[in-house]
Amino acid sequence: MSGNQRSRTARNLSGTSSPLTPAVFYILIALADGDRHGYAIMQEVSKRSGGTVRLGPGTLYGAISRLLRDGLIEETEERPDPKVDDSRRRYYRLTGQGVRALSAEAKRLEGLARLARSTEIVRKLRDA
Amino acid sequence: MAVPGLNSRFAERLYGRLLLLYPRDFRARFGPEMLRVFGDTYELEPQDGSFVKRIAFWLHTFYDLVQSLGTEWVEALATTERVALSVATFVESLVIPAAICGTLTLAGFITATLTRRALPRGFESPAAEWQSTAFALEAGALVMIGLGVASLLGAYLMAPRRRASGVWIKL
Repeated sequence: MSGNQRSRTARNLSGTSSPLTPAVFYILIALADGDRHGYAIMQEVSKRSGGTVRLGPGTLYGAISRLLRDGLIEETEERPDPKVDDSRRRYYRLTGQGVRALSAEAKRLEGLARLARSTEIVRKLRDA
Repeated sequence: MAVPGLNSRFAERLYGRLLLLYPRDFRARFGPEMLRVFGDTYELEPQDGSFVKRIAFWLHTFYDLVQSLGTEWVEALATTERVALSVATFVESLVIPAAICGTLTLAGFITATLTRRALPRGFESPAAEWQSTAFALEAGALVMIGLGVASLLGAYLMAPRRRASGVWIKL
């Protein structure tokens, strides 16, 4: 993928017209607090979603592959010490573009929630 | 605690074989990590050992596999340069359709055989127990195939397409 295509896709991902999928959103959130490897991302997603989102290895690495391609995350240089941890583990972190995509999506969701709260039905449900 | 009933090394080996269904590039890049994550999940996730939990774990694993296979294959085939460059990719792309057709043929054959044997004796016969298990397994396999086909179609329809002008659009 060329640089132009990559930046165009990333702009689409971070733009309000193209919402992130729940899996991608949760992965970005899981990486917001620091670098993590695959299994740690899975655990963090499960924890933060209250167990409602359970990513399998296929879904997780499919999403990671697209996030790497779009430049929203990157692989860190550090490798675990083979004596301490499995050398197959790779660690990932958010890029600047990933931070912007995450904050744009958070703003979009906030706007939607505000819109929903402004309706009569939701106000009644909250008061009940 | 590991899921009882299957040795964790055997489970990893089984999952390693299933990873062969992914496109070669994806498998080469993420296969070892996926295997490691599967191993971690298998050994570290709390399982109470009940039959239902065991089945749920494997169903989730297969569902995840089938669902992501479609997406990854469509993505691999959508990379036109790669398809044009590699004859091996074209041959490899026949694996999934061949697997689906083969399993459907096998399922049809099993259904026909079991029905032919069961009908003259009626479903009250002692053989009905294993026959019903076989029917259940077959139904499970068909559901998985259905999910796979749906996933392929869904991934195909949702994949970004390139217009003549070179602009990517999302359906």
